[in-house]
Amino acid sequence: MGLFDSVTHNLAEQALDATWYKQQVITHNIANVDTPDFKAKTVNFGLILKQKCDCKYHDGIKDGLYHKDISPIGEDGKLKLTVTTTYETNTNQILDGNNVDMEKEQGALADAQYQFSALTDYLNNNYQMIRSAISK
Amino acid sequence: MAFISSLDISISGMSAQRLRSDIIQQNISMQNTYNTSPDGDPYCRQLTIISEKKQFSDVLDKYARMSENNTGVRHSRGVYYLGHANKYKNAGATVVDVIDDDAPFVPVYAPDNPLADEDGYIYRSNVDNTKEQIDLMAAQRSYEANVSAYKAVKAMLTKAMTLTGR
Repeated sequence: MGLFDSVTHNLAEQALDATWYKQQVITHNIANVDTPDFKAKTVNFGLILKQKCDCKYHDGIKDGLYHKDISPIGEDGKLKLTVTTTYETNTNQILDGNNVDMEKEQGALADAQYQFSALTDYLNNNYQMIRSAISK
Repeated sequence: MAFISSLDISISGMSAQRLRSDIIQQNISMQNTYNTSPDGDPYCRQLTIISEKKQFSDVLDKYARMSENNTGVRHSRGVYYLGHANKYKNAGATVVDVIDDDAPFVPVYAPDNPLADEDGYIYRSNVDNTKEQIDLMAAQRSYEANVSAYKAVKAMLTKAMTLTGR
């Protein structure tokens, strides 16, 4: 197992990507606040992540050691985070068919920002640990 | 680079709103103009049509499938897999067209005016000052919303730059 190969590290990287994607969708919504017939998109990935993590455990004794492995999901043997984008087709905020709720979008953007910040801090801590492991 | 070009989404929204407010200001400055020949039309109020940049929604629709949730609200759901190429880089808003307003011109009875038609009317442009002022305010607020989104994304970028483990 490589230094940067742990499950949580890998997931944090994907979550960082997902948060970045979420931010792009939100800014796209904000930019289109005056577009007729535009429907605001919502990004969900927490739920999918939970679904994917609900995976089989292979417990067993191998080489005299007790193993508790998480079975790999995804093509490259890593936990894969998928993202869904949904939008409601029959709600209107105003008469021209646009349903962007500006307060909601600004809140979601702040949310994404803090999430990104937290993930960055987590990864930084991780890197710090690796750094001290190298220098010891 | 997809990383920095995320800021382009907000910028495209800003420039669309800027163009919209330019058109509004043109309307306001032309509001008291009349026809310049007896059979000519006066200035017609211009409207900006803002649209979503299409490439982004195309990508969403590609992965879209319709589903019904239990509240009866119809969702169009697209699954996006991270790690695909950055197909969403062309997101944002853009002004696709500037069109004429359908409102009728305002007739003013001035039989002595050499520009009057045979019934003695000259025609003023169909610009309504109140509408323009309100539109201008709306454009200003939308612009500000894009600016605050830009700032938020910039903060995220700055945060990402600290990913050095120190």
